[in-house]
Amino acid sequence: MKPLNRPSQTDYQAVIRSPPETVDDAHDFLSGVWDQRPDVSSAERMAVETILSELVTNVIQNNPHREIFCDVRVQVTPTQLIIETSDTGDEAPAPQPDADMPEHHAEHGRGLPLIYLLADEVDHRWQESRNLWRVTRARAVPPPQ
Amino acid sequence: MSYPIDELDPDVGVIRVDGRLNMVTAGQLKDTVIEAVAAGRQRLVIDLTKATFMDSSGLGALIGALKTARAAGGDLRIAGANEQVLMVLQLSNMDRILRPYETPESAFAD
Repeated sequence: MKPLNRPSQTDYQAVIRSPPETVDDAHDFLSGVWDQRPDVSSAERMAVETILSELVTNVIQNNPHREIFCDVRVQVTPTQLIIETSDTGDEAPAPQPDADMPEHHAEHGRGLPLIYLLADEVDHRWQESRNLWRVTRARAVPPPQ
Repeated sequence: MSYPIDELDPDVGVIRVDGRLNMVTAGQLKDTVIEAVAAGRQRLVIDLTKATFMDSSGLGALIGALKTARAAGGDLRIAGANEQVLMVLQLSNMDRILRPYETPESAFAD
């Protein structure tokens, strides 16, 4: 995994190349982000890690037998957590915002519904032969002093 | 590679998952359960005490493992899930199918 730049205080980026890298590299990237951002709560970390894991897993699973590059970006602002990916894989199917969870016995198909449940906004575009995902989650507003 | 299996009592095997349960390790869990069922273990507990994270791939592996155990006439339960694992189970409504128990010892106490 290659860091794209020197991280700023709000903007963290990396590139995942798979194979050989896996979704574990996305988790390791996030661990580095949390080390620098102790202000991000446990609940926020759980949501961001789950969203990012689902996004990167989809990229890898949708492109078997080929190498993909997936740029990963996490922005931490006082009001929002923004997760973005940009990948070189095939065009992903258009997401269905109102898709239900699959039936209980299904072993697949819960990734995107989970993302929608954890996010406030989900946007997918196919642009210049890349899938661009932008997922936003509002941060809890601290109570007034 | 398989996860280690301990014997809780002669009827109950405990599969101890360590680290992340995601697309990298989902197959490992399913294979471990298939091997355990083939070896005659009908009641299995997936001990998630040391599992740090689970996504939908990991959840899919748990569902596959449950199906494997039930197809053989047995059952499979989960224990020791952390907050993130519980969140995924609840959001997906799978906590009703894979009811989380606090400890492996309590999973088949009923």
